[in-house]
Amino acid sequence: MAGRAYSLARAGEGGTLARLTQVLDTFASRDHNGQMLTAVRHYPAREAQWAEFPEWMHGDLKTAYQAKGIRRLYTHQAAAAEAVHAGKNVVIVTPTASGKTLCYNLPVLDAILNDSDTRALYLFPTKALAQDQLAELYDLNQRLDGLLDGESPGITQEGRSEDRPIHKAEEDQAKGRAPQGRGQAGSRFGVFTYDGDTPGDARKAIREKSHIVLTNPDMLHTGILPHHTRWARLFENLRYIVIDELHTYRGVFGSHLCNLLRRLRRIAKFYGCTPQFICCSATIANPGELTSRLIEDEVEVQAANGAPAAEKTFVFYNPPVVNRALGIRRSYINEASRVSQEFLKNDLQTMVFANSRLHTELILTYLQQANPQMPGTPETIRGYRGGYLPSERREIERGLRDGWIRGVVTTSALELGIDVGSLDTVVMAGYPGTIAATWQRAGRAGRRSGSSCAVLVASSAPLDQFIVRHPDYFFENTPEHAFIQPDNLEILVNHLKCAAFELPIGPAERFGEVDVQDLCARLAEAGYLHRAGENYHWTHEAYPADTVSLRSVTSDNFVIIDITGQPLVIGEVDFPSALVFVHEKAIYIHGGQQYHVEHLDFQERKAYVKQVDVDYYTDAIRYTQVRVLEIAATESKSGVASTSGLAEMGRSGSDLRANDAVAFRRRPPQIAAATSQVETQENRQEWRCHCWSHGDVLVRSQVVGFKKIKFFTNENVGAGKLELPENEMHTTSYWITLERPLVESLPFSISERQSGMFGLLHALESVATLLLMCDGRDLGTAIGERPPSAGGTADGDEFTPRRMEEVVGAQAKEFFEPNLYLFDAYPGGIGFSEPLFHVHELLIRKTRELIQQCPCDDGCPSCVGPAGDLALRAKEAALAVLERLCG
Amino acid sequence: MDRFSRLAALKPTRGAVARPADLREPNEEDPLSLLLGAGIARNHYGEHLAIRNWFSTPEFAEPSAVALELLSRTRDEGISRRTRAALEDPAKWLFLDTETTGLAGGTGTYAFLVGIAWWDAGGLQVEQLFLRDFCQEHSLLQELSNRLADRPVLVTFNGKTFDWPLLENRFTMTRAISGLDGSTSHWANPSRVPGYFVAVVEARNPGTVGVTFSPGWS
Repeated sequence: MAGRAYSLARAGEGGTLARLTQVLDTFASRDHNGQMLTAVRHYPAREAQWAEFPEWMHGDLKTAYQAKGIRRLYTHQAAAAEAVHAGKNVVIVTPTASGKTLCYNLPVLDAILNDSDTRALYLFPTKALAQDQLAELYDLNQRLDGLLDGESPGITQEGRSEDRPIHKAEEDQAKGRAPQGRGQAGSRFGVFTYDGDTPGDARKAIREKSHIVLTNPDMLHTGILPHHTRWARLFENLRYIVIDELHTYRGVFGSHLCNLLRRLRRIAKFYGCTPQFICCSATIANPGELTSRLIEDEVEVQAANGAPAAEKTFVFYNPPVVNRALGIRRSYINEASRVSQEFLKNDLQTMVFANSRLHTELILTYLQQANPQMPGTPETIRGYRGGYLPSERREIERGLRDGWIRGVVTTSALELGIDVGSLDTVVMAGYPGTIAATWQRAGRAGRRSGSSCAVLVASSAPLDQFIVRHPDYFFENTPEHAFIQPDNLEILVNHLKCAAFELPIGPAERFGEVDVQDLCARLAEAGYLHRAGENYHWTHEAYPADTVSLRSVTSDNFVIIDITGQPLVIGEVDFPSALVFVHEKAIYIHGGQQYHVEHLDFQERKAYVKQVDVDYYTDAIRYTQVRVLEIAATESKSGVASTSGLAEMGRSGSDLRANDAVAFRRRPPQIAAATSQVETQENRQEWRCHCWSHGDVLVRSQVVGFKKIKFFTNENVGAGKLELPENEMHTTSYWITLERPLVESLPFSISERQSGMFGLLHALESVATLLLMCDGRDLGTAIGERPPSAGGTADGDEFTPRRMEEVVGAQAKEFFEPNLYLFDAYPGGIGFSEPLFHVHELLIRKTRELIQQCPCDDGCPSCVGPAGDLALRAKEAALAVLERLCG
Repeated sequence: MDRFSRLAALKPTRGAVARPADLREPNEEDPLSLLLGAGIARNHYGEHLAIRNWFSTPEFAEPSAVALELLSRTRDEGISRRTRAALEDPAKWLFLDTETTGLAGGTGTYAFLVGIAWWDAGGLQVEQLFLRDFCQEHSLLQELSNRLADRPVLVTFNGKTFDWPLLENRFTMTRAISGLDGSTSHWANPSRVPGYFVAVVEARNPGTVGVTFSPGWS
């Protein structure tokens, strides 16, 4: 991969520039009032900063790199290699295509060439990335071989502009052969991927011969650590652990990885090793903090980028308003398709990112219709997302590199560093949710050189509208923070079980900062562990790693079977999505083809579908109920205008900046809990107006129906009811309680109040996502009546919150003291609730600004939600509530 | 890592003397052993239960030359004279089977009962080694390795893929748990002693036998 960064501009690149300019001019000419293209930023090409190869570097390795056309290093590569050489844990933070892989390959290979006992473990978030890396190492190994054979290594000027090594390695893998082994004459080091696709008989050889094992966290979790005795060679000599794409390990996945690394270090220690960590991350705000939380050790951050960058244009595109009063814009999906079509028409290779599978398929359908193929020729516009079979995905990757695929519509699946070559343009349908992901996606265009363009087409979601209307917020701000919560009890206990299986747990052992003795005692009571002597031993028949999935809560998935003709498995969908996408009567779209779901076999986890050709798609309706289990902390504020609340927060009038996210992150929980005790014990007094809390909740959700929505016009053409099982989840939540005096002081009708609250929640969620810098899907929302018992403790057995249906539909029942919940959308919670609790004042102030500044009359999707869904004056009511909240 | 310090660590220490465990009569405090009629075996690493029985049948019969030839004609791996000699000598055979806490394999599966047998005095001597608790594993494995030292040809059913790898896991695992330094571990695992070997003779179905050699750790 490193090699590519050095390649020069392809001949004829100037053509790209001319065509790009032409398309951009077309857009500009359509933008009559200057509100469509809200930002056009031009980034000139940047020169590379060079450094020499380190002196300590093995001569052969230097020659091999030089043979690849790498004669010097970028400054950040040299600095990273030096830090690793000095024995430090390092995290390298630079953008896509800056030659990150060299930063870890150089010191690791150098160590292997100097001492052939050295072993390294590379972790990639996906199998595809490991395959990609295998090709790079395979290439280096061949060049090193060439040195031994006394041949002069071939010089390729263009780095690896030909993709042959990848294909060779891939073919070898496909045939179940290890690509090369140390046993073969002259090979200088063994490098193998070890994942679910590795055939059984190759595994033994890999364990013995591999100097570098390329794998993913899931395989480490189920395949390597529980069998560590077979990997004794690796663990006895494990010197380096490389974690690439570190920024993907946030939220649930990150919390799992942190525990996995605890287990890994524990096993390495058993074999007498303390490995060193080399991590790579895309640009996020807190790479050092995230890394040191993940590896639970000190880490040196290398963030200065010495790589050159190609010229790039970044455009924000806001679809034109078609109905000013209702704040309705032209559909961003249609607009994104149109923009992409414009690029494709000018023969610019284009990648389109959509934020959901459904939208991927929608855009794909539109684009394929606009670019009909001659019969018999392969489709040049393709879809790419999770759920496609691996072979299909490999074919698309190759097609993109070779250039015969002109357009690809994808989800975040292509956001990571899979090598698909350089594309001319990137179109994002909707804001990806984070600044980091947006840059990452934009980086897909013009990876190597030449001129490129990225277009962000905003949806009417509040977050998108905020971003396109405040381009500086995006362009001037640092990307977001990544949070993890490794001590989430559910995650911790699962990994503790796995750890006990791997090695009995000793009396003084800790998991990070956590003393695990109590947990072990609990697990012993439950029959999983058994205490013998001083140690806890695994004593259950099950294999614990099998029941723990790192990526989600459950490893269950549904397979989708096409029964139009011969039954054929066409894809799969994970458990939580299944209820939304493949419920009965749903239209499931796969590869642009529509399927009608005939039957969902819940027990067998199968969905039977038939091909259909209809002009609508379906959208599921979900209801959510929340019950408070335990309050961790509560604060309250009176309705009297007072600034004490602000002072308390220690943050008056501070601006909405990324740094805020850190500032509120960690307040010692004990203190917060202690003050809350006092607060909750006090009797509630009349003058108190609202309070805000965080704590444990039980969330029940259910898909109860679906809407049929017509293609292109997005008209609602029907609906249906569904009887699907409920999902129950124990998580953490932050909530605002509006007390009765506040609610009663609102000069609105009951339905207006109710609507206002839902509108307020809609806006709160958007702003919270922005403040936390998390993915919109990480937070869930609900409104419910405050539990009747004073202080709202867990003794209220009733599910007080009501369904939205009852509230909005009947519009008769009233909330007396509603709780507005923003909860973590993962079992056990992933640490968003407490930060939200601490930033409460800022949250409501920013929400008020969002609604106040929105130009619509009665609410629109960009503030309190579409006017049609709410009662009249809902926006006014929401603002009135906010005014009272702000005091 | 410093290679020399690791080499030094590989040297066996004197402490662990390979001699049969002392068998103690159970008393009232050991109801389980009383029930089973087992003795309590004690060695350097602790204690476990051991039951020994001698059976007059099956009677010992000299292995036929054909059977031996079949046994010795293994995969192309070269068999040393010493190995061949052991193979042809029924006094070097040890029959082995285990009962485990699970079938999944992996490091969290324990062999809580190890049954071994060998020809003795014209009949079959059967010994069962039993873990009363996980912490007794080390003494059981020590005892087993003593037996293996005398009789390095293992005769098992499906032991090549299940029992022996599992026991190997256990030998590796026991090292640090016992709190002893790494030095004794390689002693504890006979297959890892340089120049040592374990031959696993497999009887899969009647009429066929296979033999596999686990070469010593060298």
